[in-house]
Amino acid sequence: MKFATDRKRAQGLGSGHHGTHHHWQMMVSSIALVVVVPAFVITFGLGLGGTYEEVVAYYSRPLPAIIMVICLIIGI
Amino acid sequence: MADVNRGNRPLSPHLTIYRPQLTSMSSILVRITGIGLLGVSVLVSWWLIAAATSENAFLFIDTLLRSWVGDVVMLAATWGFFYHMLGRLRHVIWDFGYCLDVSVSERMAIGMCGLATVLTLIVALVV
Repeated sequence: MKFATDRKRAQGLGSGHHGTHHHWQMMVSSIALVVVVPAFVITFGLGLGGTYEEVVAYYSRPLPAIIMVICLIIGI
Repeated sequence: MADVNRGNRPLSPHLTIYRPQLTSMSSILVRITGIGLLGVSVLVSWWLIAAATSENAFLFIDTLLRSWVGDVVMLAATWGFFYHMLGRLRHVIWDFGYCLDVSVSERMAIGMCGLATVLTLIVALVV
């Protein structure tokens, strides 16, 4: 009897050999995007439209800055 | 002659005569919005780097993003963002083994378009 999980048995198969990793990456980032996308759209929408000083001050605050960084990292 | 039976055979489904389906088109649109959003991320990064650099650099890209062209791009980007998010969510649902019937998938495709439009309108009106 084999005790390996389904994921373990699939790992390394396929022409690219990285399919399980990529699939897991897509699953995690897809679910993360459900939270990150609305957060980004709202904070960026609030940030865009100010003067130079207002925008610099807005993105000096931690919450908008962190949401921006998370969104750009997941997105790219 | 090699081809005596021309015109009287079943045709293979070439792309040109293939009827587009909701499922494939909605999936292709997820890719297109993904590529488009990569372009938007360049604009957003440019805007951020300019804000960190100097007021003149910032004013150039900020004026561009806030012009009517920029408004159209940002509205399209918002829709693309929500559509891409819902499209990815649809794949997660499929991967967990739910909603794999063609009729349910097609209803989800219409739902993605509709929900993305509603969310975009909410954002456009509120933010």
